Amino acid sequence: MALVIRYDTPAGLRDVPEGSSFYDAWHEFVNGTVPNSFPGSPWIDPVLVDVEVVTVRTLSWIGFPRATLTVERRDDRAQGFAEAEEVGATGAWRPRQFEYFEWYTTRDATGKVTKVAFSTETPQYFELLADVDRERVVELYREHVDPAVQWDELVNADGTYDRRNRWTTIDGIMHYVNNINELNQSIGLAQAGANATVNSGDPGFAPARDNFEFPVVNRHAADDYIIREVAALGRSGFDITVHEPVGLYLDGWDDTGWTKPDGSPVGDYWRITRGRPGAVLRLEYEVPYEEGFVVGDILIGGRPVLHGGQLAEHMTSSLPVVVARRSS
Amino acid sequence: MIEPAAQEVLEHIAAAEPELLTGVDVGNLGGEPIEPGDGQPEEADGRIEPVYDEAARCDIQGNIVPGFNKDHQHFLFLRICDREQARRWVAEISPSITSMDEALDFVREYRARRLAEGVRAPAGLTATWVNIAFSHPGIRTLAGADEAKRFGEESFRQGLAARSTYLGDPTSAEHLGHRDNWVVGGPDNEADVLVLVAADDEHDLTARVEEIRDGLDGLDVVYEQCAAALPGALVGHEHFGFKDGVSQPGVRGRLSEAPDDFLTPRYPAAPTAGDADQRPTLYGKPGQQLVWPGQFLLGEPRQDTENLIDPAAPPEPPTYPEWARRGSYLVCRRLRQDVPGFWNFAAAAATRTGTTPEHFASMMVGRWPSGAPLMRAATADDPALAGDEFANNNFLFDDDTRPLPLRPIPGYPGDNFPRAEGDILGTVCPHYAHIRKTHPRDITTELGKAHDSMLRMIMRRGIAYGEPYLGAAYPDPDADRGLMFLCYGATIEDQFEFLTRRWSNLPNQPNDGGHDPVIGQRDSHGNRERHIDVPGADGSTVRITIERDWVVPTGGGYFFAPPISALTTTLGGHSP
Repeated sequence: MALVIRYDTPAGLRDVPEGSSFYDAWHEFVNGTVPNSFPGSPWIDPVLVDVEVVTVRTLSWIGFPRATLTVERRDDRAQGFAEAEEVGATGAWRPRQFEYFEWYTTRDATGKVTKVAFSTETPQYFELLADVDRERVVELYREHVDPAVQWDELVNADGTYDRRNRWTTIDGIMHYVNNINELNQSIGLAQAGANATVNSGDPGFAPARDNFEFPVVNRHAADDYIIREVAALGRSGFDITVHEPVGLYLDGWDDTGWTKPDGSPVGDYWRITRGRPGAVLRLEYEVPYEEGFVVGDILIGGRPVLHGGQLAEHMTSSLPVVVARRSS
Repeated sequence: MIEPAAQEVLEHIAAAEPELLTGVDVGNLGGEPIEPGDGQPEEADGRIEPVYDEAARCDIQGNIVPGFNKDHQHFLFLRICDREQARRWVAEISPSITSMDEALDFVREYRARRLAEGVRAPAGLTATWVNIAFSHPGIRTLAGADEAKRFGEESFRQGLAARSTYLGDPTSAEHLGHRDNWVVGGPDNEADVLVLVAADDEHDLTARVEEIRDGLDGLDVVYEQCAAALPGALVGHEHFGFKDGVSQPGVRGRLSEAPDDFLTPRYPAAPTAGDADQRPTLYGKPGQQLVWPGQFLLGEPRQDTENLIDPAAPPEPPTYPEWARRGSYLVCRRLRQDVPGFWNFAAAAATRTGTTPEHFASMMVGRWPSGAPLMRAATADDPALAGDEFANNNFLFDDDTRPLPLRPIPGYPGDNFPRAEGDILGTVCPHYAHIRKTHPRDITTELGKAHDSMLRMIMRRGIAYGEPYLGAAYPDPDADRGLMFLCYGATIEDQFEFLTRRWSNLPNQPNDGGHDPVIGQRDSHGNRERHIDVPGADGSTVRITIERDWVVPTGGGYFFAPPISALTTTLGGHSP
């Protein structure tokens, strides 16, 4: 049987009541992205094609940008952490946070880090939500970013939702703002990986026979990971498609070896604020007031936290996919 | 106490004939040199591998490359108590430090004798070797704070004790593995200098160690550790019973301008015209990835982050002082092993999952006790495969492994073992298997591509310590036995620490499927439980929790093995 009848929201969020037209709009958005593929590709449309599920594979990659950590600042990671925090400016917001994983660092008056918020939510979601219920959008911003947020601050001159408004760029984070961090882009990478297994018949472009032969996509972890992993699954004879609820998720965070100012291990200061365990969309790291210190006082492997990216290095984001075989 | 089912496996391993444990030699390869030139892939323009001439070879310490590989070793952990005397001692011992050149000469003669005589270990050919390394505080004391500050490797500057819990070591001081309880390398007993003595003959080792100990001047012994390969047919195995160190990277580089004079011999045949197959330039032997020397020696061409074959330049500006060029960081970890604990778990889990203890334990490792990889021997050990150096590493994990044509090798019958078939779901060699976690070969990782994995490779030089459990009539189950884990690399953080913290210790990296059940450490808010997702034939998995630590850190340190020339200049001799 087909896996999907109607696409749900990421993590099954219910930001507006059941029955809202918002859920139709979200289904249409995802449904407009998922089916695209080449003839003969192992990528399948889960609405139309009957499959038998073999397993669910969580494609999972490092949250901190690989291009900064491994390529550009291979020999100076401290500089890399500082650069990755750059919020940017019009046209290039969070210009280094490429890995479908963005964060915002809050500091106190002395510059010490007090909180880091991580998000894998997409601007499309908020645009569609704003079309239906702009008050709810304001409520979400007030709940997660700042109680002072006003609708006027979230819109363009023409009154439409501004996906790069101040409260999700320079003054906080509600969702992705980097140009390439889009849900449809990540699904497109998976489709490209599946399509790459199709032999076009052109001898100059024979499909790779293994991951060593697969051409380098770019310097980002997520892009190469998604394409290569899906291509490898395709070469192994599997069909692949999205896993419901379709979304990009915060997949792992590891605070092993993080210590309080007194040298003892940190407590569990992570807080899931959007999504749910197993499908986390927003995560915040903040030390409870009663502990008497802040994030910037924590040592990671003996090194002080100066930038939010130092936490991101120990986190992963993910795109779950279904590994399947077409039903006979 | 050990459970009967586990005891049965250990007795089986210990009683096996030598060829079942050490593999079956594929023959003496005729004792003839391989024809140079024809068939050897040409290096592309701009990819000329560096030549390590005699002067360079005499400056690089021999345990980095090609490695000592001696059956008897002794570790002297030293603390400097008088700077001037210690500097003189360092200069005095420098002529005794074994270089790459000396070790390579021995290896060449050993191999020639072995081939000519058709024996595994030629009689009468022995050597006793010494290498030396310094901690960051040791360098600061000997060379001064300014020189020490020029080391950009932050983990080295911090030291192993400061990084211990970051590596997943126990956070509770009540745990044996907590750094406060270490026999050496803890907060109060860190060593400034590590001297490694290695010999083929136990008596030679003892004599050389005594000589060094008696000659110490300005240094005190903090701790000593004797280590030895397991006896008889178990040589090369660690205490759990598995062959260790089967897979090592092949270091690129030449010994001369002669066309076939490589540091790591090249066996693949050149590709046929028009074939885009890169493997002849990627491998030394089938499955042995060639890695640029800058991954192990400071200041040399190193792996490129986006290119499998072509090198990247060394760091610019250098992240180390000029005198340290061609030195290497040395990580030493004294890892205590609980043999009954490991095998009791394997026996119980095997019962639960419907397989044998030996097979279950081999799935934890990724190889059978002989060293034969599961990827090529899925259901039973294959000692002949284990003994074939052209076959025992010839496998990928994700895709089918295609045959790799080799140059003519006299006496070698060819790799006729079952080929490794793609196992992307980890049903044959599980995602949690130690060799799949720590050396993921072709698989995609959380860093994106296999290119990145080549930046993580280390040169392992471990050896067992303590009384063997295997083969002993009445072994003490609680005895202090384990592995002196040593590895070299051009960084500590991006190689050893990365492999440990990310791939061994996390259940979802490089692929989702569990912690490394052999060496993985976990301490999340005091919780040390690990888990593995054991694959079933139908694609399902069974999650099994691991509640016990059977590899426990009990000491070590972060050191730097300098070029030998530095021992009489920056680090030794009269103070400038």
